[in-house]
Amino acid sequence: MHFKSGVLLCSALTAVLALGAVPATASSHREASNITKMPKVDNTDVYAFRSYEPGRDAFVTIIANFQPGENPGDGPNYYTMDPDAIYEIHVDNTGDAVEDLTYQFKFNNVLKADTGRTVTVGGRTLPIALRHIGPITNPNDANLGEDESYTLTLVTGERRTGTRASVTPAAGGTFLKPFDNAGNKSIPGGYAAYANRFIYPMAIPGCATQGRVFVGARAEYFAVNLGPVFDLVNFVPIEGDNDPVYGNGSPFPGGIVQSQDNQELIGKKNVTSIAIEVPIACLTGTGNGVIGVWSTASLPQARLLRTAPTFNTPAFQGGSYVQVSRLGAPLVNELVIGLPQKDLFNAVKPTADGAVADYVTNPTFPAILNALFRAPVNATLGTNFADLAPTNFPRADLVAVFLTGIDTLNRMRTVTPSEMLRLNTGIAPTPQANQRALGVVADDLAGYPNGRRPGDDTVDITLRVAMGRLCYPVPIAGRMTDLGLCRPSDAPTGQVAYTDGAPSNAANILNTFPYLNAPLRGSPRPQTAP
Amino acid sequence: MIVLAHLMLVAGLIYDGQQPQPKPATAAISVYAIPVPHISLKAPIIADAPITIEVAAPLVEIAAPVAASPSAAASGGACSLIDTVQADLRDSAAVRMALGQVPAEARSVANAIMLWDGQWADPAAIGGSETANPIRQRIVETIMAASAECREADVIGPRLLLVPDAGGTAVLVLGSGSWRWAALVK
Repeated sequence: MHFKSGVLLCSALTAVLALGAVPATASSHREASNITKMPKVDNTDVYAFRSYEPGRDAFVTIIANFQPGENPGDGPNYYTMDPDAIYEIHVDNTGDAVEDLTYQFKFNNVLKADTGRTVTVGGRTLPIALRHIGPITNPNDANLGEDESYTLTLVTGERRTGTRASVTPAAGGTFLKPFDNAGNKSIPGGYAAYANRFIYPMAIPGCATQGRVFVGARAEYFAVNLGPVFDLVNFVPIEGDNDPVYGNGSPFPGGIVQSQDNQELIGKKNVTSIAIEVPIACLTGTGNGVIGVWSTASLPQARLLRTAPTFNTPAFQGGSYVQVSRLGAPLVNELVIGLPQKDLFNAVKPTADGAVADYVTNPTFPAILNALFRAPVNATLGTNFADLAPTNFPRADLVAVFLTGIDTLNRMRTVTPSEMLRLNTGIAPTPQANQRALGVVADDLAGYPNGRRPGDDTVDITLRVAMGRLCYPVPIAGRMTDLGLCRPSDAPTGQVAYTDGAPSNAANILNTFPYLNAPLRGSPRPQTAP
Repeated sequence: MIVLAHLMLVAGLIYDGQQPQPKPATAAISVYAIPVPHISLKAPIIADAPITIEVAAPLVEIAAPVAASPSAAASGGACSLIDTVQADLRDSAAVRMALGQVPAEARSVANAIMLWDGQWADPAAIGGSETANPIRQRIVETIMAASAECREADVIGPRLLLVPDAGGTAVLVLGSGSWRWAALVK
């Protein structure tokens, strides 16, 4: 059944989606009221995938992004990480929803000589207002007045009580974070080459093979058409042409078409990435090769502001670390969790996810779409839809995607329903040139929801899955295959080509670690100018 | 109100190139005579302990997470044949050789090969009988060696078997919808 009234659909969806049941900037950005006050610890996206850089398929890459909406020109401070926070990447390889491995990052921002760079003016030597005074070409460059470094600790077992061991640069020294991309004059010779010097081989305790780590600014690559969505959904969110990736052969009259003009973030914003690449053998433990991945940020429980803050100590901090941000699968806290529980979701561990299970088994935004759109559609089209949204409650398909993994695709041998990315490390990575943006539903088993790659269009995948795509057979090696999670009769619009019109393509990002492109520069403008 | 506070600080590393300098001696800083409001801090809450919060919206009664084995129906019965079939395929040199002959057109971008979805894949589509038969034969033999209970157990959804091949790892796919292992030997 295809909807024929583009105008009616548009107006109905305008009403529905204006209620706020829409994707927000990045997959989890400013999604809860408390995290909006703490952008430096706001976890925006997590990716977990087998490395598809040629020759690196024995590794898994995990990327945790923080600090949403970084403007390239935001000097003089740009985007350092919070030295009071701990940023963590967790891995569960036993299926009990408790981390077995945690990579813990702690940042340190040091003002050189306690003054930064200085100049002598009229006989007086004074610190300057900028973080740098000349071109930056080297790590720890002399022209930098401030160095940002980090320590990396591998915790085996529970994150606070487990065994701790330092992860160190394989070549010795200290992990440093590059200065942000202020522009061509500040970083001559190309930012990409400069930033590549901050990719460190790392010696991982207990692991025979070195991994790699990088922390620094990257160009955002989360595809989302946010502005028009919040402009009362000023488009029809169904594929409007025969796009080979996003279309289904039945273009919807008046439907949105894929365009880079629909991007809210790509080509416009940066983000800070924490990226690690770890040998598979050092992640999977004694499990079946499937790992659960999520990231968190935590702050000391108490903070006492100082009326005379210093650079090093603007406030006193103390108490236990409290988790304030959490992210596994994309768009969960944005789209799935109800408003009263969003901060709670950010604060709890996966073992407590039973408290929010209702939001997965009985999702709200498909119901909203149905509540406001069904009657007008039936009246206009002469149809008799009882419900536009899937009616298989509890939604076993969404439980499989978000809470348990799909049997033999990415489910661990022991299953504890909990929200996290689940990656089957046994499935080989798809080469960059062959990756399908719609992941598993587009016959690419190495894509989302089997882990998540930067090129996976998780907005469109989530829209389609939420409206019942998995109730219909999905192509596997070209054969339409019934996953057995629900039935076509459960999802009357499960085959509609829902889309926000903001396309994603792995070919537009790097084919090497850390995969996300070098950040947009602050100067000169435009980005394409020499 | 004047609050006297003592704070132990450990200075960060000062860098010169890639070699860290020795840490300065720990500095103790006392802050005197700063007019700040008096704050009576409660003992910190141990963040790792369970936290109960009253919420207005109705919540499902929280049950303790249960580590459970995959359901019998979902994974092929009281005994799970998938591990056995996968192991037997991996052990077979004939299977590994045959997999190397499966053409690219029969594989997905993630190297998945559909073998049986209610009926066996057309041998011509996966490289001919000489390619298909060793794989099919090995699977059938393994199923026949299993108990009747295993063969007749209900299975829901496809099963993926990971078998190394020349290109890395092939994902061999069996099943679709509701099926039984016994159907593969009929």
